[in-house]
Amino acid sequence: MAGSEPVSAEGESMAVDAAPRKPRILLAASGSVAAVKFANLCHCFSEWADVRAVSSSGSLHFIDRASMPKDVILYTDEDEWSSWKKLGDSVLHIELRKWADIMVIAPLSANTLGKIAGGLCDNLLTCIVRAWDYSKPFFVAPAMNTLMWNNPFTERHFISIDELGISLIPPVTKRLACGDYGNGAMAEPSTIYSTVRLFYESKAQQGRAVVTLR
Amino acid sequence: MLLFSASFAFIHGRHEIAGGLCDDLLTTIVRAWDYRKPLFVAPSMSTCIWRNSFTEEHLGEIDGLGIMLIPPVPVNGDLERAMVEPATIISRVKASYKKQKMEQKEGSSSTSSGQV
Repeated sequence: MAGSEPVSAEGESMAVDAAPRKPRILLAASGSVAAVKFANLCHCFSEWADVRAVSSSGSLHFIDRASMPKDVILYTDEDEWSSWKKLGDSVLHIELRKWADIMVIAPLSANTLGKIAGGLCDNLLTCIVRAWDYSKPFFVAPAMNTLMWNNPFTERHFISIDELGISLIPPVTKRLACGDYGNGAMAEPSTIYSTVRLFYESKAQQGRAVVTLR
Repeated sequence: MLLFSASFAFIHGRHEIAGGLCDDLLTTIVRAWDYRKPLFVAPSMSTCIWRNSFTEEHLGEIDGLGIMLIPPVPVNGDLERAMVEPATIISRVKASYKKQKMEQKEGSSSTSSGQV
């Protein structure tokens, strides 16, 4: 499912005031087994918002493309390279960053967490993060084995990304895919959806209140 | 006890470990490691890379975690820092293991003799 459809983000800010549009949500999956729930997550959001999806190469092992919502484009690293032919062509990670109102990485793997904390950007997903405007909401829902979750690196990395303004949707304690029992399982798609929607709608209400006060 | 003594891989690997990255089997094991258990590294790289400020930074990071360094030795007119001989690594790991066992014995004997 190539990202052949152009991602136009500029020139639409004028229309926002005239007619309120659906929120634009960029959903991303990194290489954790919890990515089996990614299609479900996309379905949750697509009822309410305009959704575009990004997958790392690792996550593609777990995502069932056939069960993705039909109206959701799934962008991969391949699209990043195939969409650019010459100087002046748009760059996919920049266009997606401009397009989105909110970004959600679910699942966020231990490796991608480390990359974000270190400012590395070696794939489509991490390039979007590296270019992100942190005045826009950004949520992560980590998923990893309990041993990794309890490892000292996890806390260090979350301190780093918290400073950037990235919001954590914490993992839950349950029987993990590997058979271990403990903390580190990704929050349920319904929880991720309701967290993001509540945040967005409370911000929108605050915005309306400010306009009314003026 | 994990012994990480890959030679060329260490140049990139030490950065991955210091940064908490885990994109292969080895670094994923390290990322899930319980640092109450010993972990040794035996690096090997050119002297230019060994003296680079990043190396010092990365070694500081992994030292902070409790990873034990078995330092490389200068060879080839100090152009390279070679991994120490396997026999040296083995004796270093054995010595550490013995020391740990001794400490555990002392700890259990002091507890059993009624000392708190």
